[in-house]
Amino acid sequence: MKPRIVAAALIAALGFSLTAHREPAGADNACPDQVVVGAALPLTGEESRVGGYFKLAYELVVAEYNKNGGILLPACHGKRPIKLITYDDKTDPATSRNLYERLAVEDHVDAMLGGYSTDLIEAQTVVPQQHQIPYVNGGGAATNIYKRGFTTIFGLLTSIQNLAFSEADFIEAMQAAGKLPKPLKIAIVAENTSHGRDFSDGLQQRAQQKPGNYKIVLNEAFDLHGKDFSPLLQKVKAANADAFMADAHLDDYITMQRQYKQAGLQHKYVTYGARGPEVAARKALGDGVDYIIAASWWNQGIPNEAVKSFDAKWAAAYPGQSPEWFSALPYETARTLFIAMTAAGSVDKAKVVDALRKVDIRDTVLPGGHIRFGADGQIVTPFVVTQNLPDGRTVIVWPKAEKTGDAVLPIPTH
Amino acid sequence: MNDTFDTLVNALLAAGLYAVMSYGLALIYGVLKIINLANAGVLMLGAYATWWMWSAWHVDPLLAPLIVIPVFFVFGVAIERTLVARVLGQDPIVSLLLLFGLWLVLQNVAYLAFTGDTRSIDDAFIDATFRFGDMQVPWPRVYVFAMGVLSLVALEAFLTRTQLGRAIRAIAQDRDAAKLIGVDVARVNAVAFGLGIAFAAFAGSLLALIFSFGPDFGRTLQLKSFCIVVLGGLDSIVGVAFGSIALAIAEGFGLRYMPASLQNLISFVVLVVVLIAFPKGISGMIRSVRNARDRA
Repeated sequence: MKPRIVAAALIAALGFSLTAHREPAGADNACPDQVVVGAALPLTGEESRVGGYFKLAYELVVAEYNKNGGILLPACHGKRPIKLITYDDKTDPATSRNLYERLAVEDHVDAMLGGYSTDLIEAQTVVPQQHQIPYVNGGGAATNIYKRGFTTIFGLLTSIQNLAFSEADFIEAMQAAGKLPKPLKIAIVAENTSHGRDFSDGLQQRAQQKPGNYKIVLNEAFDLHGKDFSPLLQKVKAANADAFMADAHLDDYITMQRQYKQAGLQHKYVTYGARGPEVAARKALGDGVDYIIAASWWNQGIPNEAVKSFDAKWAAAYPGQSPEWFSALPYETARTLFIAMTAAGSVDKAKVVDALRKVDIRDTVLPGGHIRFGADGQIVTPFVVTQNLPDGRTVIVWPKAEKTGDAVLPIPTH
Repeated sequence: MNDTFDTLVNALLAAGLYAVMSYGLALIYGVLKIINLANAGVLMLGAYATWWMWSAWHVDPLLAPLIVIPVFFVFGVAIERTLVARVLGQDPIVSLLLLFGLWLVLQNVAYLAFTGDTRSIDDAFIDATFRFGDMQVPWPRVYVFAMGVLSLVALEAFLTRTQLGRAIRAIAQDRDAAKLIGVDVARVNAVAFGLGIAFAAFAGSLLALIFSFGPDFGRTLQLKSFCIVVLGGLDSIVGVAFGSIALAIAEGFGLRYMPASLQNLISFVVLVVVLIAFPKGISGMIRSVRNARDRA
C-alpha cells in the first residue's frame, strides 16, 4: 500500500508542478514586462505565398514599434517591447486551430493576430473566442466568420459581398457611360466556399434590386484548388454572357484564366473578384491578364500619404518584394491591435477588446483611409476597383475619388 | 448538337490527360502489387523539373520529357532498390505507409526548394489554339492527348515485343511461375518501378503545359488516377486507356446537367459502382466476354 501512496503523491506532485509551471508569473498581469502576440500562418502549403507576406508584414510592424521602445501602455506608465510568436499551420485548418490553442494555453499570449484564408480563419477564431483573447485578422473576408456572435474577433478585410457591391457600382457607372450594355448578361463562377458564396450572393442581391441592370445567365460553383475547368468553361461559353464574373484564389485564377484564353472565350467584362493584379499572375500568364478587372482591399496606387509611407518602409525592409494587398492588410492589422492596446492602457484582454470595438483610426493605407469595425467585428470600407493594362500597369478605375486611370471597357476583342 | 460535339472533344482530350497520369500507377500495381501513393509527388516533381529547365536554361517544355523520363527512371529504380524492395511481400499497409511518407517528403522538399508560390510555364505554345468546327482547341491539350496515345502504343509494344516486357507481363500474371522459368524478379521489379515513376514524371511534365502548380500539385489528380486504374482493371494498360475515356465522358456529359463543383463526385460514384458491379474493371469485363465467346 505504501508504495502506491508514494506513487500517487508523486503523480499529484508532478501534476501540480506541471500545472504550476504552465501558469506564468503574472498571467493576469495587465502590465507585463513584454507584450506577447502570436499568430499561426500558412507558411507552407497552398497558401504559403500569402502566408509568407503576412509574416513579413507582422514582423515589420513589430520591428517598427520595438525600435521606438515598444507599445505605449499608459496605465503601465511606459512602453513595453513586443514579442511576436509565429507558427506554421501548413494551410491546414485543424493544425491552425491547434496552434492557436497552443498560443493561448502554452504561450499565454496577450493578443492574437490572424492568419490567411477563410477556411483557416473560420477554424482558428474559435480559440480566441473560447479564451476571450483579443484577435485581429487581415485575411478573412467571408461574412460567416463574423456571423457567429463572437465577441473578441475583429477583421480588417471588408466582406466579399461588399466586393460584389463595389464591382456592381462600377458596372452601373460604366453602363451609364455607355461602355457596358444594359442589362448586362452575367455568368457567375465562384469557388465553393463561403468566400465564393458571398460573392455570388452579393451579385444576386444586386441583380434582384436592379433587374434592369443585370441578367444572370449562369451561376455555378467550382471546387477550390481545382485543376480542369474546361467543362465549367464550356458552360460559360454556352451561356453567351456579356460579363464573366468569377471569384477564385490565386492558383485557381491562374489556371482558370489560362484555360479561359485557350478556350477562346471573350467577354466585355472579366473579373476574378479580388484577384487580378498579382505579380505572380502576370508572370504566369503574361498578356493573358490584360484588361482583367479586380476589386481589391488595397492597391499601391491609392493616392494617399499613408500608402506612400508604407511603400517606402516595405521597400526598405524587403527590397525586391513588391507590396501586395496581402502585405498592406496584415501591416494595418498589427498596427490596429497595437493602437487598441495603447487606447486600452494595458494588455487587459477585456479592455483591449473594448478598445478594438471603439477603434477609429484615420490615415491608414486602406481605401478611404479609415478603420472602424461594425457591430459584428468586421470592418466596413470600400474596395478599389482596378484594371490591368497591356503596358503592365494596374490602374484604379473606381471609386472616382481614388481613380488613377480610365477603364478600357468593353474589353477589346482580338 | 454543337454542344454535344464540344463536350465529346473536350472529354477525349481530358481522357488523354487522365491516361498519361495513370499508366505509371497501373504498371507498378501490375508488377509489384503495391499502390504507389507517391505518384502525386513524382507528378509534381516532373512538373517542377520541366518548369525549372524552362526558366533556368530555356529548355523547350515540349522537349523536357527527353531529360525528365531517363532521370526519373533512374530515381525510380533507386527508390525501388533502397526502399520499396525492403517491404515487398509484407502487409500492403506497410508499402502504403512507406510511399505515403515518400510523397510527404517529396512535397516538403519541393516547398524548401521552390517555396509554395504558384508556378506555371508561359510559353507561346501554351496559349496556341486552332479552330475545329465551331470550337477553339488548345494545342497543349492535343499534344498531351497525342502523348497519351503514343505512350499507350509504346508501352504495349514494350510489354509484348521485348524480352524485358514479356518478363514484366509474366510476373504480373504469375510471380511464382515467372521465377520458376528463370525470370530475374528483383531486376524486373526495379525496372517496372522505374518505368512507373518515369511515366508519373512524364505526366507531370505534360501537365505543366496545362496547369499552374505548387508543391501540393497532384493530390486531386491522384484520386482521379485511382478511379481510372480501378475502372480500367488495376493492372491493364489498355484498360487504363479505356477507363480514362469512360471517366472523361462521364464527367463531361455529367457536368452538363450537374454543378461543376460535383466533378470529383462523378469520379467517386464511378469508382463505387465499378467496385461493386465490375470489380475487375473494364479489362476484366473484356476478358470475361472473350472467355465466354471462346467457350461457346
